[in-house]
Amino acid sequence: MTEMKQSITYARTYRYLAQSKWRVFLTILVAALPLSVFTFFCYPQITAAITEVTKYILQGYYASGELLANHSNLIDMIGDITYLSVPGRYPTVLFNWFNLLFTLIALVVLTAFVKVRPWSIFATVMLFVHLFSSLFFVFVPWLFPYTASEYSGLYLKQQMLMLFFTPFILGTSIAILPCNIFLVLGAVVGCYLYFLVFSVLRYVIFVYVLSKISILYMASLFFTFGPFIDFLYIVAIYSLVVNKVSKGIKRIEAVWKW
Amino acid sequence: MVGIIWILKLYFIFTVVVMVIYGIRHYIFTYNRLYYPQRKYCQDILDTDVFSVSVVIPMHNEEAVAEGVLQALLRSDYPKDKLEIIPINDFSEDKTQEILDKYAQTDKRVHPLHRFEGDRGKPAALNEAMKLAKGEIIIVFDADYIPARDLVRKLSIGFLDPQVGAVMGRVVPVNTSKNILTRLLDLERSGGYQVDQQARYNMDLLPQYGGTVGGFRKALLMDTGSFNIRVLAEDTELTYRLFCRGWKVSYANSAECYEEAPESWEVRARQIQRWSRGHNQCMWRYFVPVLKSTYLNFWEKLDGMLLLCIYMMPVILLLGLIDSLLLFFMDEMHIIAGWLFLIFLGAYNTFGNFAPFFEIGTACFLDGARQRVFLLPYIAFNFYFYMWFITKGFFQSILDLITHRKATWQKTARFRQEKGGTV
Repeated sequence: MTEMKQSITYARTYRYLAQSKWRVFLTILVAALPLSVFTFFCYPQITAAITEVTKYILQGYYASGELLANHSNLIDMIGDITYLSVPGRYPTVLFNWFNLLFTLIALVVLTAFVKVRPWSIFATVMLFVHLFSSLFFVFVPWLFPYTASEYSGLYLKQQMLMLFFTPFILGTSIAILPCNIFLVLGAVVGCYLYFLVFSVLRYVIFVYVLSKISILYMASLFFTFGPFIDFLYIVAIYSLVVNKVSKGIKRIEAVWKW
Repeated sequence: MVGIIWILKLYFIFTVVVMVIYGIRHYIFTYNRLYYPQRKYCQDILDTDVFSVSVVIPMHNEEAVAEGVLQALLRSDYPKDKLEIIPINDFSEDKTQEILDKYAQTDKRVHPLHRFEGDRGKPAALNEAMKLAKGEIIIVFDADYIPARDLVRKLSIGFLDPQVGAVMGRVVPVNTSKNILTRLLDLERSGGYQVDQQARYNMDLLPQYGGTVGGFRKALLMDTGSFNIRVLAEDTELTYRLFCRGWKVSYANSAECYEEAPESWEVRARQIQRWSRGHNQCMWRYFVPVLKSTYLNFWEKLDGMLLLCIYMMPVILLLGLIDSLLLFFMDEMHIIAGWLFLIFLGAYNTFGNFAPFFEIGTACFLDGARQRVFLLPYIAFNFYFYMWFITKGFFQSILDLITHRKATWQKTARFRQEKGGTV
């Protein structure tokens, strides 16, 4: 049995952290809350900046006046969100049928010839979303309820909600670990900046896809590349920090009680 | 049409509320495990007047692993005159019978039971073994487990508490480094035992007897009826049977035992589907009895209900996904007007989804495991895999309920190459 693990010692079995709850509370207060509060009060400015940057990146691909900043209400006492108003591209009949056919073939290939794996099931679920969308556009395209601009506004509202909660959730999860306040602050700020940059990049792609390729892909963008993707990198950053803290306290007995 | 939209919206709200409740449950367990003094199991009690123990090992075509578990048990430090080992050869077609007979000839503690007629499967095999077993305490191991020398003593000592009807130890995968699947299963086991089970034990809720690396009082099982051969999750069934009759289940976090985790996704799919089917069979059976039980307090009932419904969650979420898709195309995504609901939805998206990862990350931290925690994001994709197969198991359990058909037991395939077992 060369693969046998070393047994987990008794000491690890019942240990728990010896931290002061006040220290944890203060860390959350200093490192996690400020960015959530900042997002809450400054989302009008944040969305305006995201919109401006996106507009700047995309302006070469659009005629003058096609990309316009628009406003939508979120919280009355704080202000509106700003989003890009863009012309959506409606799919042709041929394009719809091509998508329907392609999705059906992909589903058959995936379910009949590809081994069952987490990614293949994820892909199958997402292909079903696209199949539903394709069927909708093939049979009742006039009933499609959204414009690209509406989706653009919805995306930024959703991103602001995630941006509001992310510092708090990541901050509280890390603050309870026995680590330096600067590590918590670094992780929260790093995640926040990553979130902002990634939000812009995704926004650029979404706007381009909906206005230059087809709004047929709106459902897939919403269900496949929505909060699920944001969530993955929050977890990834959390796992990096857990690893670092575990390494740092490896031989420090004082952080534990039994 | 308006009625349908309202039903879809209500279902969406129901999904969010249920997920928030489960998210809160994860956070409470994790904070409890990380920050509060732990309730210790009684593994340090030294007693010379020990219980007589029958170790039962159901086996069906287990030639690859049979010797490993028998060798490990024969090295046990438990008094020889108080220990009997009953490996059950359940319709094996390989060399399991020969292996068991060989060990029976060399050690008088080994009393193999060969079954070639009657009902097949673990519950039926256990029932037959109960007729042979002489021990006051029955301890069950699956054939792929490798118990340490002191494990039988650790598990049986828990029965000194007269309120305890069953004891459960901690399962640790032995083949973690084999591939990505075994590494992910190691993460899941870590979260499930180091945090979930221990927190439940700390808080005097309902730790679960898991059917292996655990034991129960024989008299108690015989008094309350044998294992139901129609139920695939005999362990969950016994857990709820005990709690509904006022008994306790003790969790021994220090009583660790190594298991062979499935190494292929196909095997894991069948395993999780069987667990889902069996667990949901228990859910239909014990939903009302748990609510009505006079032995359980409010928190125990709440925990019991949440645990009973745990294999229904992926089904609720899959239907929630379909529900969202319909609402999306009906232009009804604004479920309730107002930013308060949006904030609630945002909280669910972040806190609700993050909660299980937080639990597993904490378990890795407590175990001192550093590298494996990097795999946490991959578990998100695993969720879809589980959603699919757990849903299949759920619908099978509904068919079982309607048709009263007999479920066929499907053994988990083994992967071990060598036959010995050491700890």
